[in-house]
Amino acid sequence: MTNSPRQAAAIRRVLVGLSSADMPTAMLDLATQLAHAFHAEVAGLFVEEDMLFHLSGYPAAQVLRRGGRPEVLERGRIDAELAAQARAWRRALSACAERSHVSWSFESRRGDALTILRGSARADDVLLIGGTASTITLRARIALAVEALGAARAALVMPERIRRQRGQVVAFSDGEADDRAVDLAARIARAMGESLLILTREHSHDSEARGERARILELASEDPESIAMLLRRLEPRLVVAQSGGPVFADVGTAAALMHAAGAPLLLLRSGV
Amino acid sequence: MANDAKSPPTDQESMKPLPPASLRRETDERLLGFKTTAEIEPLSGFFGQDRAVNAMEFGTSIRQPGYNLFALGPATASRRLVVSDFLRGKACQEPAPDDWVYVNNFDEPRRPRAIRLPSGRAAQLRDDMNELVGDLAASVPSLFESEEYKTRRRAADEVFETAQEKAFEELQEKANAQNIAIMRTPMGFAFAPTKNGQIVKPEVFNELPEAERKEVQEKIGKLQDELKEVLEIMPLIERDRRKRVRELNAEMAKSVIEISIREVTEHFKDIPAVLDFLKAVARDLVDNVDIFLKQEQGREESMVAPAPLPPRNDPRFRRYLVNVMVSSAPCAGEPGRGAPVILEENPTLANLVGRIEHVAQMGALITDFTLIQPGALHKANGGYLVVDARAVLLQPFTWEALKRALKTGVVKIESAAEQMSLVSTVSLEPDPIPLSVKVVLVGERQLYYTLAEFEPDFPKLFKVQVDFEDEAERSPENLNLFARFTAAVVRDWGLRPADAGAVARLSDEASRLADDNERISLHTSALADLVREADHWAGVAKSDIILREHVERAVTERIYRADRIREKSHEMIARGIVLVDVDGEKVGQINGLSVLGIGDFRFGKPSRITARVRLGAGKVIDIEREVELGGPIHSKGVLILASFLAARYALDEPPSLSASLVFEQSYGGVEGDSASCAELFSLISALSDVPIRQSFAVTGSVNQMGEVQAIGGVNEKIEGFFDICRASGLTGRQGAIIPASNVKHLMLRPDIVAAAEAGLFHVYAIDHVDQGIELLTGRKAGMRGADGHFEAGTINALVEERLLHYARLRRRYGLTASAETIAESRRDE
Repeated sequence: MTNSPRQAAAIRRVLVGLSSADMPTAMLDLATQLAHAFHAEVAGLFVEEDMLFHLSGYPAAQVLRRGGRPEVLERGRIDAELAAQARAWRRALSACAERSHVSWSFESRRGDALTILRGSARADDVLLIGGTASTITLRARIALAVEALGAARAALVMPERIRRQRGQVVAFSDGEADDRAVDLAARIARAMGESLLILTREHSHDSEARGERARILELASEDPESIAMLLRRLEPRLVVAQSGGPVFADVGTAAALMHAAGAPLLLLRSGV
Repeated sequence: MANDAKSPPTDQESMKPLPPASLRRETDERLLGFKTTAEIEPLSGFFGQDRAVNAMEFGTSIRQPGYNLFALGPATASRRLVVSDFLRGKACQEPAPDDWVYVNNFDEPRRPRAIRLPSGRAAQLRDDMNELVGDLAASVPSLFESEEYKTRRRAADEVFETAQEKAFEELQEKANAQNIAIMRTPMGFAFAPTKNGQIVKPEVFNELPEAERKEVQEKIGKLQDELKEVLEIMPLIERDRRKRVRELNAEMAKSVIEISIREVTEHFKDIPAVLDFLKAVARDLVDNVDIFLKQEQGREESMVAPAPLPPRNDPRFRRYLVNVMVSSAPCAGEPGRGAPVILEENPTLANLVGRIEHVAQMGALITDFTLIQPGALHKANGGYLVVDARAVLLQPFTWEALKRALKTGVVKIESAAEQMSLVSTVSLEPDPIPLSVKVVLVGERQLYYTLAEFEPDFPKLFKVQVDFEDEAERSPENLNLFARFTAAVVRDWGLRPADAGAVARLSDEASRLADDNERISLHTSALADLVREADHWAGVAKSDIILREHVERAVTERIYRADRIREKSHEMIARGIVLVDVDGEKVGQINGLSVLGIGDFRFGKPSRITARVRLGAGKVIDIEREVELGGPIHSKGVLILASFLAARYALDEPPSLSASLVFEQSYGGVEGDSASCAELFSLISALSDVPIRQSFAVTGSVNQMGEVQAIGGVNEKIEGFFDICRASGLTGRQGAIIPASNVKHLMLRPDIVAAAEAGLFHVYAIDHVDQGIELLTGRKAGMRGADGHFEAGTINALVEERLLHYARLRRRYGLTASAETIAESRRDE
């Protein structure tokens, strides 16, 4: 680690992976804010997943509505619903982008969600993944993000419920090698006008130089329970961490910490 | 029948004109005992209204239902001022009434609760509640920022989130183990068979053996049931979460709320109703503590962040506020407090019983208890309400609402629109407030009598009649009070002091206003106007003091401003368009005098009255009546004079006269009996064929005995004739004949008094028509002698002669009275 902060590589695009999964529209707000912060564009990619079209082919196929009401599943209905959902996402994205004054694009494709996302992602993208047809739990969504990370710089996972609209950005620094997470978090915090809190095992001078608004908190332990308690108390707006690092080593731990934080998690691809 | 030239002339010396001194009574300024009003103590209150004051004392002291007051009298008598001055004086001695507030009814917000508090405590409760809300608005959010709260809240949220997540994870694992995938679709959750983690396509699945397909479908069916249970339980989990959060919030808030409210409770521990309210507030605050955490609706989206609202203006906290309806105010001019005296100038229904205002929000009109506005009855509760009776009666629903309030002893807010069923929006039904008030209606006498006659509730609700005098005796005591009244006007209006001459002249004018030289008018507002106008003319004359001449000018200018019509009327006579002779002699023609009123200005105008006679059936035709220009009192006067004639002359003969009387060139109607004397004289002149001196004008009514009775407007009438005579040139023979009983009313203009002193104009006072006959004809009237005949050659003898002559003619023609009367009656029909 040096005393001067390294300039993180530029982020050119925020790619928002959209699907039929009902995710909070706050995801779009966050996407456009990030794009604005990095002078990047925001690109919406709506995936009509193949597997959904297969469902109506099974005998007596049904869906269960929220609340448990069963309903017959028909192909025509799926087509119409997907088209409507794509239109709704497009409208929402354009409204958010225009509000944040960022350029935007929207595309709709059919196929496997992960394949399409990985295929569309670029190395300088931040990928936002709401969910797919098969990711009905937070763990599954985190796992999907980790898988998609191979193609993008970072992937952001949204919780079911965002607790706070404002709050500090919390970055996990695992040491000099993982300092990119702190760099990115610092830029995001500055752009969003939030304070930055760096959680680290080792207190270094470099960390102190992240800016006037950065505070550093030395972790006494990497025990997930302790970190979860800390996150509850901190009430962050965004958590930034290195994928595969000691804290977010596995999907289960990551999900538990996200529940504790009640905030989106931005995972950086390791080794980039 | 020719005039009897041999009739003995009347002894002119027996009838003297009134001495000039009796034509006008002036106050001797030297007797007033001061130089200017600056030396005397201004009158506080009023004078000459002993009866009214006595009634007010009684009405305000008696504490029984229905003993409200009605102050009746002319508007210019300053009734409202007198009443309000009296009431203020009395109210200051009385205890201040209780305060009333409206607060939210937490059980039923549509019915705000009214709370009574001891005098002066309402404002304290209001301020305490404002402070309480302000404190909580600051302390509650910081409480919820505490580490303790955050940690416990997070835990509550996580329990829910992880419960949901866990349920899905368990189901997912179970499904995975059975090679089934759970998928989220735009419509909901669906299941699909998998093989090696991949979805089995339908075409492949459908090719499977039926038993295998059935097995898969059974698995899906069971999973579907389990998912259904999970989905059904989710809202319950969310409900539990909300409940737990509420409980946590309540637990956290309870202590701080209790501490804050304890202080207010301490201030009002003697008032159970307030303690009940505070308990309800505490419960509601605990139940709804999250309102302190929410941003005011719409504020987040504002382009420019507005300054934070003070808690009392924040809609979230309105239900904890206190709406003070009435709170005792300090008594005017007194350090202490007293009962309220409210003068309601515009007694609309809303202004009387209060109203519930609404505010527009999101296109709808909404209201709450803080928008309840008090009416005059609320403000006057425990004291006095003074209101104009006519205004109350003219305003829709107001009279009925006032009666209801007085009958029921409560004031209930009701709107006219609701009463007419014009609106059916949800509104409030505030608790009625017990009412203890003395209402004083102020109005004209006629209005009082009309209400007493036709409104059955009126006598039950307004039992005290406060009858204002129009005038007072012109005694030295009252003149002294009048001077002090003038001093009070001078002080109250910041005028120049008036000298004794000005006050004396004002008192003369007060007598003139009273139309009586022995009395002074109590129409104080008119007199105060005169003082103010005199002050103006004193200013114009650059005088520091109001002098007699300034009062004189005020009177003259006031008349000048108003007398355009009089001038035109007199001009018509002077130019010969309207025929009035002021000299010479004429048979059957006389100058009568009438008064015209235009607004508050009255003036006299002479009119020519003529009479014609012929043989007939004893009927005097009043031409005014025939054409419906004569009023009933005028007709009565004519019938009386006809009766006088019938009873005085030719008593043994059937009535054989047909006469007609008319006001010449009168087109606007005639009312009153003040011309009956003049009409009688013209008729007697026509019957006697003796001319009447046109240099005289006559006013007075006559009774069946020939006695001359008092009339109104004597001053204006004399002045009207004087002005006409002066325009033609005063001859020294001109004058007016008035009833002797009107002499005490004479307050003639100084120029007429001067003319009388110079012998150019005369006023004669008569008691009996015979005196008038002699003055007007210059001949003796004549008395009936022992032989039953009038003295030969006298006017009365000539009249009787003519009537006997008609009777003889009647017999000659063989007419019977009854036959002719029947014929005339038929003709009339």
